[in-house]
Amino acid sequence: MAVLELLDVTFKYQLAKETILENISLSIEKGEFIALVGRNGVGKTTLCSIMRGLIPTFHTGTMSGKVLLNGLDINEMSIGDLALHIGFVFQNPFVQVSGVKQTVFEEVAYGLENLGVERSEIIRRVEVMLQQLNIEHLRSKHPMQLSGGQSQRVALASVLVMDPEILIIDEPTSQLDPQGTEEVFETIRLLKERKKTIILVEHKVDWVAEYADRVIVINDKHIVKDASTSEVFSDPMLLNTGNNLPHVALLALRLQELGKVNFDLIPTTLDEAYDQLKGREQ
Amino acid sequence: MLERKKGPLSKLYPLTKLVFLLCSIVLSIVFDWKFGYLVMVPLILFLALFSGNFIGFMKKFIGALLLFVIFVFIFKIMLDNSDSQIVFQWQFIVIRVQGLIDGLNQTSVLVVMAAVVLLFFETTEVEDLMISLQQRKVSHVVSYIVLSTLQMIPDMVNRSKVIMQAQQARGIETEGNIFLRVRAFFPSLGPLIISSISELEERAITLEVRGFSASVQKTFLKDIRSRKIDTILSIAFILLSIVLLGWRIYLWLF
Repeated sequence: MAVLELLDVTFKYQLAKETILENISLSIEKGEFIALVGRNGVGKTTLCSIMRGLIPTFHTGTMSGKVLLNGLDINEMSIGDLALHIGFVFQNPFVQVSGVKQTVFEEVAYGLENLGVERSEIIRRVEVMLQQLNIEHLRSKHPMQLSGGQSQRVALASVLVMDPEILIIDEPTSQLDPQGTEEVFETIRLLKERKKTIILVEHKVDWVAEYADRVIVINDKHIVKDASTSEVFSDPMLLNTGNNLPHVALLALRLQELGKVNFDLIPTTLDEAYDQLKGREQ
Repeated sequence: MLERKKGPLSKLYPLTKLVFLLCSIVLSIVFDWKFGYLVMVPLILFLALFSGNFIGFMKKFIGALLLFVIFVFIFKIMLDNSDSQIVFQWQFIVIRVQGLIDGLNQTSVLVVMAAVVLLFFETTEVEDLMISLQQRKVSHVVSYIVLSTLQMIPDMVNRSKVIMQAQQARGIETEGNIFLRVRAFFPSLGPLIISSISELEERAITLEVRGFSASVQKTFLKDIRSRKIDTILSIAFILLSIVLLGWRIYLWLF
């Protein structure tokens, strides 16, 4: 059974003239890692908010259709209790602080306090999370005095530590350097190994190609493609929707165009490209 | 890095200190200046020695209070027109005994209140106080509002500095004489207020995402517990206050 399902969802913000999303239907299985891609302003964050139940509760507007969490309509569930099932990391890390905690350690622990986790377990889980996201050195710093990259990692840690079954992560690496990006994706990979369901909004398609199982492309209010990662990223039509292809796929397409190499399937990751080219050499 | 409160007094349960604070204020109101200046103030200053930051306490105590207390004292003396004995007279300045007593009475309450509140916050994290209140069934929403409001003040100061710097970067003069500063300050209020309001919505969503309204019993990372000594001290403060109040009422009546 699908862990999260959207049935014909259409949404229009209260003061907007047009709908932002129309007839969105998708089904997400437990343990899937899904990437949402699309141009800026196409409605990816809106879709995330709908999946988390923040729309229409917080961002008001006209919504039709249903969102089902484990078969139950999330609009009939308490928005507070949804935190037990769905974690959400927003795009802007600076607004994701509780505003009442004095240190990063306490900030990361805040969600667990709200969920009624025992003190010793809170400490254990926060320690693990600080280590995993490489932010141990920030533990005594004030959450409002962090750089963009540091805030982003603290925001991610604060949600991951709550260990929800579904994680919606909206551009978690927008303020991170390459090493920070790698660490975040490594954390996401570990979550995937633990059978967490992950929905990621990310423009860094090279990373998405490496890790995601499935890619959903949104354009002009609709889902225009929903397929496996390699299928989506090997299709040059993706470029027409204002999205990029992974560098490996772009290079492969160019080489194929020049007649230098003929690929059976356009590679989307370095490993895929290496395997195909290595086979050819032999 | 964050500096935590140190000193033996900071280890006491916040509600024990709150009981002392309330008892001190009530007693300083019902008793006259002699009790305030000769008992309560020396006692609070003595306790401040155990606050872990006596010098800091004294700086704040004197800095914030001295001018204000002197002003109130002089004001009270000057306004007195009773027919009590004149202590000093020079041209239009007349100081009478009743004026002195009224001045001392009023300032003693102010000094005790300020000193005890200052000592309380010098030795108590606001978050610890709110946790202890939540343990006594105060709503976590109330606790959040108090804490976030206190936190909001330094946030807004920082935000205001950023807005001023942004204005400076656009060539607006923000430094110089008082008129220049005022002219630069008012246009910064709009962005400051609007950004603060827009952040409120995002803050509310952040709280929901962190399970703020999840229907479970909240727990606390900080281990704030009332010990036996706290119970003994609280009962002692309350009993002593009742005895002193009873004595005061007896003196009023007979």
